[in-house]
Amino acid sequence: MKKIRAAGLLLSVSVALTGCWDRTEINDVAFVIGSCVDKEGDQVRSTLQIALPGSLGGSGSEGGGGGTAGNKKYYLESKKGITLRNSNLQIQAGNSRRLSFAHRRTLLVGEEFAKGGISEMLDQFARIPQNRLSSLVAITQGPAYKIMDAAAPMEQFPSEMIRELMNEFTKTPVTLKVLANDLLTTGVDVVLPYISLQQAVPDNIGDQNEKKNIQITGLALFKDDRLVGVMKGPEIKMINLAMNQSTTYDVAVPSPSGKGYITITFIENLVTLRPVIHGDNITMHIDILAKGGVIENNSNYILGDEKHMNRLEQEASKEIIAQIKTGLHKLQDQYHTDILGFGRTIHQKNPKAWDRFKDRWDELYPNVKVVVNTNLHIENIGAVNKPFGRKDVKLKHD
Amino acid sequence: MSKRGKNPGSSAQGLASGTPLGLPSPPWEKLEIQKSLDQNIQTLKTIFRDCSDMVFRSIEIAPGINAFIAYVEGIVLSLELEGHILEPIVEAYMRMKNEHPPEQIKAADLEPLENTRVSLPQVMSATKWIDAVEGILNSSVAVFVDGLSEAHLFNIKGGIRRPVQEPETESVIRGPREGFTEMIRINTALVRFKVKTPNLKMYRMVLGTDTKTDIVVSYIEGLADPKMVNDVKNRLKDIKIDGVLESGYIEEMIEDHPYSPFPQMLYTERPDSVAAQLLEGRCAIFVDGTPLVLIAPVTFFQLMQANEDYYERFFITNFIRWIRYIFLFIALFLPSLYIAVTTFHQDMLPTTLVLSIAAAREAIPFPALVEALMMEISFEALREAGIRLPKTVGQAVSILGALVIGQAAVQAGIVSAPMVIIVSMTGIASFTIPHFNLAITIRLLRFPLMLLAGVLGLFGIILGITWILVHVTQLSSLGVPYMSGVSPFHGQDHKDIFVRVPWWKMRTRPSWLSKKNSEREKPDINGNPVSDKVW
Repeated sequence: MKKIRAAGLLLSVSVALTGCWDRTEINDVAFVIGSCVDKEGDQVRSTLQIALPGSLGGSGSEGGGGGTAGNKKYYLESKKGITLRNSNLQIQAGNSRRLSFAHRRTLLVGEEFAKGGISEMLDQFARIPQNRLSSLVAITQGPAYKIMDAAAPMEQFPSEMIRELMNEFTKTPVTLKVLANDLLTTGVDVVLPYISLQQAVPDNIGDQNEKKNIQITGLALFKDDRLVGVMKGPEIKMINLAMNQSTTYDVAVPSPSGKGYITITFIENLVTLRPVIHGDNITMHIDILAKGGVIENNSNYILGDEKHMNRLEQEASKEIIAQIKTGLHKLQDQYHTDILGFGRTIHQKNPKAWDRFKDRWDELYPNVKVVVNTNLHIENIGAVNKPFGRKDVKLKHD
Repeated sequence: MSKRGKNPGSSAQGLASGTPLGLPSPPWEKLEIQKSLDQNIQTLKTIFRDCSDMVFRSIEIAPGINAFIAYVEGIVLSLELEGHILEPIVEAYMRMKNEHPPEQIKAADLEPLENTRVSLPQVMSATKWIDAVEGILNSSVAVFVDGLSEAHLFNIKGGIRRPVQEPETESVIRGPREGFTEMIRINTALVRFKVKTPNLKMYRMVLGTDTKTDIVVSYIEGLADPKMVNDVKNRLKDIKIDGVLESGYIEEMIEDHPYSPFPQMLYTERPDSVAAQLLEGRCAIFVDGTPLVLIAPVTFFQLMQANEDYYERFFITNFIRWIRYIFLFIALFLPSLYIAVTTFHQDMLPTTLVLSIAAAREAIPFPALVEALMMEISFEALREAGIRLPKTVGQAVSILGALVIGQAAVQAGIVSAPMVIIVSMTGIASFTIPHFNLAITIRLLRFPLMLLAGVLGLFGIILGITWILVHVTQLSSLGVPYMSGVSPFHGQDHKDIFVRVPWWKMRTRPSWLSKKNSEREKPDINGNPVSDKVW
């Protein structure tokens, strides 16, 4: 018994001997909430957005603070290096607190860097567990660090704003994990949101600093790990839909009565790909099931009865199909990237056929025929069925 | 069974030595009561010299027969003295004197006096001084009659005692309002009111050489494990102590694991709790002079149950029970988790949370561990001050505490606001544990856990949890495993551990208590509400 007690005592002493070797007080950590990767000549520029807890306004911290410039809640620190890790190390060398990458919200990659291939930087993220693979990845127009310093008045940090935007934009936002997964899967090409700064207000009004707004303006298309092009314009929404990534989307349908538009919001959608294969002829059916409601009608078209609604659904279908086809045309003929994952779908649904196709998929892909089948339900036309604010006489009754 | 040796010599009379432990035996210990009244008066006055609360009275109970009365003032019911003792005695002696010539009276004829007219429950006679003295000190009136070599002892326990009141430490919304008092007879009666069976046994013994405290071991014969009951009795008999002033003395002496921080018995102020425990086959230990009755054996889960759990409808009970378990974990782990997460694993928190904690901690001069220890210790001090102080001052303390700890400390930048939240959450959580002795244990264990968390982070907390679990599973209370129901596992007993099933499903007693005779509901209603029956 005495021996056991003595042993217990010695063991408990050993706890104290460890001396808290992993301990880092929360005020000795610099939380990196966003980072940018850019190319400058042969070197990699890493820009980190680091939170300044001192100016976040916790109670009792008014007197303290980390010596901030201005009243920003973050500051940027940027260094060049031969690798990404190397440039991060240089940033650490100039920082009094230990950098913690676990809370990185977004990882922005400059266009230039992405054109040279993104695989080389990914290793650094996956190798260290402290680098969470949950950061969202986006490609920026021009250098990424410019976006990181843009105004985000709604959120505490621009990186947080980008994250929210990306969560809004797609059903499953592209995290580092999804990105790596797509890079390594055959039969699908990587697509990332393309972010740029847009004019928020006309030049002559507003605060000079807040005139530029961060916005997702396109899809960055990859072939293997290289950026090959950016798709912009109205069809990005429909391509997003075809990828089954669309959260909600609006379609402005030209009114069947002629003048004006009827806008429909689709709040629920499910898109499935269905390959039909005859020899080397591949037809890809894109089945779209969507439910939505009318949110604007600036024409004189009456939505009251079933006939009109069917007509409207047909028109909306036409609009959606047309836009998807335009978008797919660009993907197949111009950029040759299979971001919808046609190859993966064939691989999953018809593995034997995929065995025949996989070596020459790049040749086959532009020739895949696409059929878009829509099944739209406009369930809700709002509180008024007649156009609001128009006299009855002017209404169109077919 | 206990490792303690048996002591067949001691009986219900307990320790008969009339002196404090360690003092030499008094010269009168072996003396017998003499026939001569004068001699007896002399002895009595020597024994009780300098005892100003003694009352000595000489009376002539019959012409020519002198008697001497002795009692302690205040502990006997003086009102009964006249009517119930003196009058019948006088009457009896008068009658005997009429029947016999005076010289014959001083004989054995007088001895059945107690059977004649004295209408008191406890009448004894003592021939030895030691018994007489014990009787006097135990609220008896001693009557010495000239020529009789014995003393009559009439027990008329009395004096001013607290009446039955609502228990202060265990208040309920739904349930009986009466609580135990300091008088053991009232306490046993309160239980007997509820359990009306001759199987309810009240085994009496006396502990404490100086206090001669009445102890009653109560159990229901046939339900309580006889081995366990014997074990309790034997352990009690082994106690040799000068005084027992509270049930805590006994608890510490007879518990299975004296070095464990966990309580292995529960105490209650409520007769309904005691009755419920007896009905499940446990035993209760009443101690004279305290309103707190010990109950053993208990399991950990029982210490998490309140008596109201069984009075309130089972939906509500289950909800409240789960809240209690959740808050048990909060009370035990919250400060250490906070320390571990903020100083070792900042990556585990949501980003916005970690940033607001970082913002609040920005100007705090101390590490999180020091901050937490400081706050927790001052909270404990505040609580202690609140209990000890007179009630009128207590309020001032709580206001000061709220101001100093809650607000000023944060504004001065000495502690962070999240830490205040953590400490107050922990404080509230520990008050949800229904039995105070478990609550204080949990509060105590928090400190080593905080140190472990400060040194080793989450790994340290896991070490702490492991230690606690290992310890708790090997604990026992009167031989019953502390975690009974969960470890060792009994599926059937889960009816009353984390949930409480409705009363019509509560078919059996806990299996670890009554191996035989475990059924407590008749088969025609068991498992169904009575209203299901077609009348």
